[in-house]
Amino acid sequence: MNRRLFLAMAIVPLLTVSKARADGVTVRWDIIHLTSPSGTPTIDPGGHASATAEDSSKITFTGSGTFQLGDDGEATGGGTWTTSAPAASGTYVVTGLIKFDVAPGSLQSFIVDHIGNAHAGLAFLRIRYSDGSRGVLVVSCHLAVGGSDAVFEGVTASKGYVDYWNHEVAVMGVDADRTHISITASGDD
Amino acid sequence: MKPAKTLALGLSIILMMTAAAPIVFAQADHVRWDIISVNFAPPFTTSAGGIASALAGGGSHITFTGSGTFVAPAGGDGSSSATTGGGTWTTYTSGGVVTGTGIYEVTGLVRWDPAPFPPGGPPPRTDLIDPTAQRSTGLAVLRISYSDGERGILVVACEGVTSPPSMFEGVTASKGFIDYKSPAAPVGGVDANRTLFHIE
Repeated sequence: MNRRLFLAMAIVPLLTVSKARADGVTVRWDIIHLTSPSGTPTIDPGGHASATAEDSSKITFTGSGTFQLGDDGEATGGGTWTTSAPAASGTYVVTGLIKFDVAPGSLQSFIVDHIGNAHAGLAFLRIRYSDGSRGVLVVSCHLAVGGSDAVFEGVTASKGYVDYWNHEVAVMGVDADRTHISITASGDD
Repeated sequence: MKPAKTLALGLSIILMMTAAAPIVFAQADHVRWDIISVNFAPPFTTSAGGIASALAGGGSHITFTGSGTFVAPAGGDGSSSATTGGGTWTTYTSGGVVTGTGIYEVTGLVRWDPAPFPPGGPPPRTDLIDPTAQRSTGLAVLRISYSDGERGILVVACEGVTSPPSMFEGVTASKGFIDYKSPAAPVGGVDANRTLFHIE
């Protein structure tokens, strides 16, 4: 059996049962760069993404991390945050996984993916900001081939009692507001 | 160490733990949340039993009724064992065609962040939910389980006229991989998209 097909058949049932532990399956998320060196769209870690609150005040994140599947699974990672009103900035750390669901969709074949194993999905992560506040970071990855229009691309987040619920939409030609979710089974490269 | 000293040390530790326990307990919030119904003619009242909606990408949307309670430890992070509640859900296409309906149950608290502002605005309303409790604004993030087997996150947000404009009023929710992340805004004269917290 084709190795990738076997891996997909093995992973999908695990992802649809969120209570179940899926030992050996690691999910990596990134806020990415999408650039076109020499004309080829290329994904790399290290980008930034923003979301706005009810009054259009903005929060911008960089970051990446990993988690193990399962409710309240172990998680690592973090990055930086900047808010526009009040003007503040700092770092954040991911303190836990709340929930993850894989979504339909795959990456266009002409895109060079330097992270690899791209999947669409929706992750809710507990985070702690460097100013002492806490919140929830939502990382959503939409992939164009076979993807659902209901799945958005980008991030939203809460910070204390403020919810930055409105993700900034990724715009073609602008290197911002894009995410990447990578799923790797134990033993997979 | 001699037995007498060991006993004294043990008693001291137990005494310190006992003395500290009520302080920790007192910092927990016992909170009730409701998707509320309001009227727009005297006598003005606030009661349980309202509806609230949120939109996903592409215009599909979800509508909830519901209420519940939770106990939030100091610090805001959740406790799955101290939640009750639920309600009904209905999903729609962007054209308004029903794609699913059922009930949901709250299975845990993710976060609770109270805000120090009074909820709602004029006119003064008679609280028919719990007039003895403190009414509150804030943001609650709850785990929910849908009757069709899917799971999700329900965000309940309540603001008031003196709240910062960054706060919103209403609900958002995820259901599986879909995030209905855009709250439908409350509109004057329309009994929908309003919430309220009560803290015991």
